[in-house]
Amino acid sequence: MVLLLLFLGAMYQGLRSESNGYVRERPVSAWVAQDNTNNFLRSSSYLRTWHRDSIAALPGVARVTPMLRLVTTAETPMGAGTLFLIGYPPGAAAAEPHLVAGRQVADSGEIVLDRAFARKYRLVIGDTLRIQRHEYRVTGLSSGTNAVMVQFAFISLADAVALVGFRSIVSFLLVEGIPGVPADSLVARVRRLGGRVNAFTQDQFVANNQAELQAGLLPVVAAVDVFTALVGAMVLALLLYSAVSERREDYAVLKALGARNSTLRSSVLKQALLATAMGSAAGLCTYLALAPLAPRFVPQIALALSPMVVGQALGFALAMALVGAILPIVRLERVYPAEVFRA
Amino acid sequence: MIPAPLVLQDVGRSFGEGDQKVEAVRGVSLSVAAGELVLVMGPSGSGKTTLLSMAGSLLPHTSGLVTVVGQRIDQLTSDGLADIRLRTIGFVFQAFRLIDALSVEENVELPLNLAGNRRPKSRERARALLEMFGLGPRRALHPHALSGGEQQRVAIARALANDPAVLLADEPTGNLGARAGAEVIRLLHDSAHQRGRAVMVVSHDARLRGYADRVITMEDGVIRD
Repeated sequence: MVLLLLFLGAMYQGLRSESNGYVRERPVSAWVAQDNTNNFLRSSSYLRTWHRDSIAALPGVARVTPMLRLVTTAETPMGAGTLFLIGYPPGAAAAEPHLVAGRQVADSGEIVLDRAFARKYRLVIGDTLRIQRHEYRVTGLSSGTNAVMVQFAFISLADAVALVGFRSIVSFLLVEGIPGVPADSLVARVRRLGGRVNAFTQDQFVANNQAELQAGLLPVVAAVDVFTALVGAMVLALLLYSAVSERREDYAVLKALGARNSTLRSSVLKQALLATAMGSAAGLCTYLALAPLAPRFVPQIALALSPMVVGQALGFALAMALVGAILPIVRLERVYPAEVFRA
Repeated sequence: MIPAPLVLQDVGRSFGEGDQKVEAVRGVSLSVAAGELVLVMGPSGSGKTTLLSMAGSLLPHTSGLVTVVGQRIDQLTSDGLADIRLRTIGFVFQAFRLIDALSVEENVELPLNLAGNRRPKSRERARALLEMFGLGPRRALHPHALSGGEQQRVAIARALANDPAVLLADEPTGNLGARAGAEVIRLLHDSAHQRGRAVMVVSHDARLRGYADRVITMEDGVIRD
């Protein structure tokens, strides 16, 4: 149970870190999106290309990088996979992903893939894949671009525009300010432009994405955690209940000899805590042994074990022990010292 | 005059209600003085064990008074009853009731540890008792490795661990052969006469008659003589 709790917690943390990693690492002051769009991961955003020129002309703005994002299916020799495809002008550092191998997209027909996607479909640098009848050669592998359900890939803006079929549309604009210009003031200036656009500081946009992730995933993970803890508590309760039942005569003897109920209760509680502590230690060791192997079997899994995750798992384990001890203690209360006289 | 450590006055115990009500013990009055061994005899179902259970505060009485070393047990809480059993009463059972998961020494240590003694002290006391009962070399064994007579001697050592004023024994020789039974009878007798304990023994064993200071016969839940 603790292993499962650790796995769930680490997966949640890994997902938070990986799927927001690309947004978090942008070296920009502000993000500009369509009005009513406040995050990158779960939204649509369409801006006209002339917005870029209007924003670039604002005082304090050093550079504006357009980005076109689309969800598409890539055909690989190992099958079809869904990609979060991001088009940006080659050489625009503001939009370039963090690479773990190869090089960034420099030209049309090139693609950088998330490393988990590449591992899942057994693609390496130099391989090709097809998107809407167009062939793309893999030039690099990125990290911080795995949203578990879907992975990011990067192509040139021109290729992305060709795939979408509309020339005058982008999804987001990444705004870099002149050094010394506060991001807040840039955002305020963009907002004053109107034209159904909204702007966020980098920090705010990262927080929005984090909140979006939490709103979608946290209740699910929390529910699974609670059910896991309940199942664990029930298993523990049954084990201890059986142990108390099997040793009923011994408990009757202890009561006859003068053991207080509180002493026996604490003995059952200690057994529950000991079993949980041993289970927790075994779960943690098993996790540490298996976690490095997980990406080999499920490449899109991103695990990040933190002290907080361990603490939460142990907290749930403690709750399991306390809840699991209730039924055996009730059973224990019903053992009477006079039972020692039973044949 | 020193009050008797164990006093039962007009004690009764019934089970069930209405038509189903069964009176297992009715109006029994009995006291066991310090240094006295009282033997309670009678046929099966006569209420002997129920009487012993009430005397040992293992079973609440439904009428009358039970006083152990001057303390009315009906006035005690569950913890108070546990404490009086721990510090004042020693029990010896027909089926020994040793805890098999523990060694002989640990079984004897058990009441001492429950009474809050530190481990070295309780171990020392347990070893001394086992030596006294000729079980020193057997202390590391588990009860199942001992003979019936040895197990009952361990049980008596455990009963005496906290130096109780009252010792209650239920058919202590019931599962033993003649020789082992005689040894147990001698230990109970010594416990009363040499150590000054109030000893109450419930038994069918006629050999005990010769060691008892008083013999009480029960029948149908009452004392016949």
